[in-house]
Amino acid sequence: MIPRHEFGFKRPGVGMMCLLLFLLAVDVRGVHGEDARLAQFREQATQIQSLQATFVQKKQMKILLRPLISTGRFFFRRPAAIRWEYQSPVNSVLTMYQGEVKRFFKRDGKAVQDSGANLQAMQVVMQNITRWLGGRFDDNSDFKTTLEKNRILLTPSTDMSGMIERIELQLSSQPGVIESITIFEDGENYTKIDFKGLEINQPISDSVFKESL
Amino acid sequence: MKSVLSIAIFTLFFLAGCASLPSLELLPMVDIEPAKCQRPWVTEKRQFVHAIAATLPDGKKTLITGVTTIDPEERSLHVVIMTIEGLVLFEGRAKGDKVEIQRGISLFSSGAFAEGLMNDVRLIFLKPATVPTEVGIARGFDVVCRYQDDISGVVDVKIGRGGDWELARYDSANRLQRRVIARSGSDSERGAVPERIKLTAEGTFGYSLDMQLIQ
Repeated sequence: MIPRHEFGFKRPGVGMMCLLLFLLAVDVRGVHGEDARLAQFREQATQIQSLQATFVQKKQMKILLRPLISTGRFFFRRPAAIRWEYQSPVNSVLTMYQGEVKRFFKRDGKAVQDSGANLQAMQVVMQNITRWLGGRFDDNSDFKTTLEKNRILLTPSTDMSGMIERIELQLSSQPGVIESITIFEDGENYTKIDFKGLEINQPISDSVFKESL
Repeated sequence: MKSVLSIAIFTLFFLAGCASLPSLELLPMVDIEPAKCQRPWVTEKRQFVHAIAATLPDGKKTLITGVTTIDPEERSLHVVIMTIEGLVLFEGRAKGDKVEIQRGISLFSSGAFAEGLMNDVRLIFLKPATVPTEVGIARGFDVVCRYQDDISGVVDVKIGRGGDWELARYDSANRLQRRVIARSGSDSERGAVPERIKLTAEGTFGYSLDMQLIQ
């Protein structure tokens, strides 16, 4: 168990944690949310039993001559099954099923299991996501949540300078759904993920969360 | 007799595992165009993005993204290592021997990591500061150019046909430290830029970086 003050900063998987958390953000119960719209969004999100979408990830950094674009697919099923698959420019997948987190990437046509330090961090991350999905979102005091028009803003309550300045979740017109996530590292560097073709509450078989690549 | 044989076998295996500086079949230097020895390295400021499959000293494998900007005129590097999800693990610059960490997470923030990373990146992307001291031939390659200095030891550059090349760096005791194999692939539009570069670090804590060009 990592100390709470380190969570989201010293662990390499924390960016992913944020991405997943906020895609599934879905459970914002417990946020000091007197705001009626936030409460309404929270309530709508609890109705989502499964979600699948394609995504386009745009990584913009000052160093990059042009943004780095990645595409893939995302699957989620309550209570805690996830498949986060990148299809381009590299093929990589992160899965969580029955509490087990696995990661694979493809090289020379073969699936290779990723067992780097990131995965250990991801295990902790996924456990936390499960807690949040179980309605204990407010267990995490690392972010302060506010609503601004149809965006949820998350700002670190601990020092994450250089890593995460703020996170913006753009709400979809579909009740309880996030249509994009933008993680700002600072004024010039950010990662934006746009979800397309969202399918809500469609059956997703176990194999989706168990298969590698 | 048995023990002598065991020692002989052990010595044979030991020596086989310690690649050392090969002697070159020398060619007259005047016959070699200087540009041929320099083919692996960019001559103007460039940026590359690679998907890097790293095999760590403990045998574990992981996939990361590497962004490298090289300025050969300034002999400077700007390097970012991040996860596939876009989380930056390391960002740093190097100019000459000076390395500056701009940000880093956990072990990626250590000076030793940064120094080692920049040394590997320098080897792959920056031409040695010296000129070749010897030029020769090697099986399967057009030419081998040997660069040598008192501090970093020897770097052999093997230039093949079709944009393929290989590097080998030896320490001051002539022991192999790094081997780099670059293959240009079939995409002619990318010209001399290798599609695939594999760096292998020799030794007890050896590792490898299998870099696939994505941008």
